[in-house]
Amino acid sequence: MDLDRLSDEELIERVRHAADAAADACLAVLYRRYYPKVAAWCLRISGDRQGAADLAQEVFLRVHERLGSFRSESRFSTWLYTVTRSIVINRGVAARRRQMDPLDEEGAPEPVEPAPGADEVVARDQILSELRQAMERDLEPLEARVLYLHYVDGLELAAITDLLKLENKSGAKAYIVGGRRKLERRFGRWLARQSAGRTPS
Amino acid sequence: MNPNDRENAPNLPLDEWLRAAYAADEGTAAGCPPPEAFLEAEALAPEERRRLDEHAERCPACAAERDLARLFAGAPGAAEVSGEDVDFVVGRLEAASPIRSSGQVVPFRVPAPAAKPEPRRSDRQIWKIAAALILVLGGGLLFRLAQPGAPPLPPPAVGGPVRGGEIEAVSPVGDVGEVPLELRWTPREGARLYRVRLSAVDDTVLWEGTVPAPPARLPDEVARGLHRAVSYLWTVEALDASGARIAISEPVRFRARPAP
Repeated sequence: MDLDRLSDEELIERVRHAADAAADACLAVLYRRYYPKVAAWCLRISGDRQGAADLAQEVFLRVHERLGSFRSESRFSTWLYTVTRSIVINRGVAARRRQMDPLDEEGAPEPVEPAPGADEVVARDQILSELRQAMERDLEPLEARVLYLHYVDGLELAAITDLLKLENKSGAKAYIVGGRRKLERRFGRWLARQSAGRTPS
Repeated sequence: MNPNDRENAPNLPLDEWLRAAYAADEGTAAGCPPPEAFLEAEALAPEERRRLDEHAERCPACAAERDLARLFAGAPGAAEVSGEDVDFVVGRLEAASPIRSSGQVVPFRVPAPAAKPEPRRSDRQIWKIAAALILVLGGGLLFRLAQPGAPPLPPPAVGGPVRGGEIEAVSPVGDVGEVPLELRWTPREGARLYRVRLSAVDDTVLWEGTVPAPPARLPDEVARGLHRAVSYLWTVEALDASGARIAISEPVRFRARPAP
């Protein structure tokens, strides 16, 4: 049987019922099928080959550990994507937490009065909701996408510049500085006051 | 700004607040689809796909997720990275495959052996005890491996009630016609409360609640956030009067079929 001719889902089905060696042969075909795709994605996101190799290895290790929970209701490629994205983003966010973002120094907050309604008596959930609305309404769409990719998904600026094919001189950094300034103008004082007491959970 | 002045400067962890703003209702309240939905967009009916695209056009978070999904969905060459780099990463993956014929997972990163000092007498005693333990445990493991083959993974649920665990999940199970508004299971004797959890396939919890008896109706904002052609999981636990768990269901997967 030429395993290369089987679909992802057929290979998984065989893994479920085959003996160890046959199951491993199916898994090897399945994983190799996605090595280049995951490698390219990790390279694009991490920006360097060593980091990408570490990420890709972590992805397939996690996939192998959790394959038993894959139940063929979604496509294997979709499930693989959720695992890949989760690992890459968690790693990016964790790395950002460990490092001081140089933009934190450059983009120092401006002492501007918050807009009406954004004061400290407003409930936290309402502020978070307004923060989302401000991302969609007050920022340029590209600024908002860059901020989201950097701050929420934890992607490096160089990776965002590549991903979005930004051709301006400073790439994603310019959008971060501009978008941040707008958000800080609106929410800066409130966030600073809240941050002095607690961080969002 | 001098980094030394940082403690006195207003601290604005914008990333923390942005993450909180988007995590608070990821995939649910704001009507945002789960990130993998953009990977499944091709399989959606034209109307569903148009709505997904329209949402991404006005939602920067989803526009960003769509960018990431498109990058993954494209051929490796579309990522515009050098073929040499791809080969390097693939080479590392090939060299450290998690698959071994034993079916064991092999850790990827093995720390380089460091030069160790000569063990002291007490260290030698410890090593002797450790060696004896390894022999005993290893013998047990070999005996276990000599038994008939390990049971295969359970077959996937394809519909109908699931009798996994100790609670029978009734609906939704497998492919269903409509996005569900409630979750149903067979009551368990002695249960005073049921804790129900709905999650995405990557185990992100979308909703969790407790009810005194089945069914558990999904909050409107949660139900509105569920999408066709996307799989979800749910589990239910039975709790006794003291709040202790007395039974639990298997994770149950369901998916609303794409609109015709």
